[in-house]
Amino acid sequence: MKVLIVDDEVIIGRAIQRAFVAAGHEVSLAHTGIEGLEKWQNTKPDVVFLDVIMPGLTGPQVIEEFKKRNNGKTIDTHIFLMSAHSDVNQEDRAKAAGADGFIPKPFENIFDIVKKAESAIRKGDIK
Amino acid sequence: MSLPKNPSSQPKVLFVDDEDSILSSAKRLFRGKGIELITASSPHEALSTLHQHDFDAVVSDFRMASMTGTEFLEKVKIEKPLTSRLLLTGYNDNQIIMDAVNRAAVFKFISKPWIDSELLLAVEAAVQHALRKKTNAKLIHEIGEQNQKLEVLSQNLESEVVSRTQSIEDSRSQAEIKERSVKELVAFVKNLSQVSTAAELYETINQEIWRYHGVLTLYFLFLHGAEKGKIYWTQSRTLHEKTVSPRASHFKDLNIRFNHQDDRQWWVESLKKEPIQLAAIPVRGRESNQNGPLALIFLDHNLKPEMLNQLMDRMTERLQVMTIVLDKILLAEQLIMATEQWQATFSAFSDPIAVVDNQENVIRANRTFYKDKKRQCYEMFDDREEICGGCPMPQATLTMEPATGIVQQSEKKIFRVNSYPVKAATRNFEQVVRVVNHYTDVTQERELYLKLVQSEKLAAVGLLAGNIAHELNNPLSGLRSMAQVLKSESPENSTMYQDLDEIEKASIRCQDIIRNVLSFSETSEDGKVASVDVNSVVEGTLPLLKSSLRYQSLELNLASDLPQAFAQPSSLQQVIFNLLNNACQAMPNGGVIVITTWKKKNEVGITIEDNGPGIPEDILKTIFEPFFTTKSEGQGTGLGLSISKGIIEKFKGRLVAESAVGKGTKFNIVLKKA
Repeated sequence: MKVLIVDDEVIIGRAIQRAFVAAGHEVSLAHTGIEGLEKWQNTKPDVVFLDVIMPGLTGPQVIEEFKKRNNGKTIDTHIFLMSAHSDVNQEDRAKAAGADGFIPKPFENIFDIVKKAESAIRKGDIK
Repeated sequence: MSLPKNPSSQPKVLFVDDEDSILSSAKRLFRGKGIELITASSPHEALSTLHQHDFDAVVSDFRMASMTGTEFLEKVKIEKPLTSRLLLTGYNDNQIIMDAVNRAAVFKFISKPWIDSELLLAVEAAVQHALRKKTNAKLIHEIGEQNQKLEVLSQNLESEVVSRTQSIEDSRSQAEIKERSVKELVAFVKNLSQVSTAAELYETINQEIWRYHGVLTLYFLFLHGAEKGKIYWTQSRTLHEKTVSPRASHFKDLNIRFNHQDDRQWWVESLKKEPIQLAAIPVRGRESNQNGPLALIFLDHNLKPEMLNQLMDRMTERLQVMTIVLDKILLAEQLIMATEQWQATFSAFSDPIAVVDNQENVIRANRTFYKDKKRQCYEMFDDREEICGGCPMPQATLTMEPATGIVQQSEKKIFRVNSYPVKAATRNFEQVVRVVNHYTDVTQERELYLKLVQSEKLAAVGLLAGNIAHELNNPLSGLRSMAQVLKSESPENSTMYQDLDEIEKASIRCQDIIRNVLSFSETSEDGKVASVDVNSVVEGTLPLLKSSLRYQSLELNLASDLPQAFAQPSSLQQVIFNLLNNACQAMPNGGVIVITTWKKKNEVGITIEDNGPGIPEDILKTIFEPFFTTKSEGQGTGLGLSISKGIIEKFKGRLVAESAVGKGTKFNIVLKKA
């Protein structure tokens, strides 16, 4: 599957990338919201990981913008928002912003994310 | 010698003989001889004739029927001593002659029968003798009279001189008396001019009357209105005074009174003694609008009326000047009273207050303003050599408006100073002549404020720490994840794998710290009170203390079967952290801290105990007060224990401290079992 990771913290992006590559997935990286938006359009990923707080466009703004560009058509990409500012309501807020799930930072185990994405894709087949 | 020419002044001679023939011949003999001869035929007839005429001589026969010539002439001598006496006798008897000379002082004896010429000569000689005697007697009498007159005259003159001298002396002494009395009056006035209190006036009046020994005691009653007065007197040379009520209406009377019944009655009531004689002299004030007198002079005396009158004259003479002085005293007393009131008002303020002039001289200050009396306000207030920094006085003087400033005393006390300018018009423009400075001790207020600022800063630091923690979390996640990924790609026994594992562990430790900092910086309001595992909160706190616990060792006695307690984890952690941190700071050179968790009925507790120096009993009472601290600046805010107590009480629990100096301190956090 094709994975897009948008995070201004380079090491996080590269770590996630490595984990997915190791699992045999195709990964593209972006370090800003704008870059992420471009790559989302161009590479048509199955799963997008978006950091919430980024300079320029934030994660939720990227989702909004992407929806705008696709004229409100249903998006078949699985979207995950990530943030270190984690609290109980983040999952709901992520859903409201149009994401499929929320991943709090720091990750307990990076490979859990890979599993999460893979299972989402399987569910996505049903979706 | 010639006989007087005037017939009326002819010499008269009485001739006495019981023989008529002899009388006739005698008459014949003396006719035309310038002598008037009157005859008598018996001594008795002669004696009665003797008183009818002024005879110059008497001629008597010795032998007569009723009495002898000697006996007769003796009577003549007694009756008319100046008349010359002649005796006719036929007897040449020495005894008769001697007897006649001794008894009747006969001038001449004429023998009988006489020879006419002899008789004439003898009678003329006797007349002459009598005339001489009479003239002598007359002269002597005249001289006597003259002498007497002279004597009277001289006596008159003398008394005149005496009386003149007396009157001169009298008038001189009167002038002297007058001069002396004027001098005394002048002296009295002069003395009075020095008087400014009622007591001094008393002394001055007392000096005036000391010479009147009948005055036993002088009393001076000074009336302060109708209801109140003060009476002065001396007893055993000491001045006494007493406040009295001059209620009697007769005190309105302005006449001098002696032994007035009302006076005496009031006297006995007020002074509890009986006067002998009581004289009352009312003195009125000159300009006082009082109806009656302003003062009364009382004399307890036993003077005689004369002396009393004299004394009254003397006093009356002095009343007018006393009047002026009384007004002066009244004003002075009113001034003193007003001053005292003002001073009392001034001292009633517990805040320091000072009235200061343009040159920073203190005009007046209350007792809290200064320790020692000095000139300048800054000397008195803070023992300085120049005006206190921050004093608003110059500004108030310049702007003529009240000004406020903050002044710090050397003893670290801080005062807010309000300067109120007092304005006065001088030479057509207004000027600030003095300033009233009111000082409020704001030391505590100020300290509280600073601590509040400090705690706000702390809160800001907390917020900042939270933000920093979040910022750190992000790269830390990357670091940890990268380590995990790289580990998965390395053979498990390789050095690379082990190194990456260390990186991951370090990252995890960092994340733990961050998590704890985050939970600590959360405000307690964020979290709800819920069931909490006390042991895990204690354990979660310990990593935060690693920097504090350098020299101190920590022992944990956590109860294994501890029930859950009502609390909010992050707040409870904050309290535990505070207590542990305090324990560490109390033992900078090392010691043992024991943390015990326990249960007791429906309570769950955490005991934090150290073996540090302990807290003295008096300080132990105040440790939970806000801003109480024994730490030096920068080490603590003094809010820790107070906030801790507040937090635990919010959980319906309690925070209790026990301490023994030299042994250590024990804090018990007691929570309700969930």
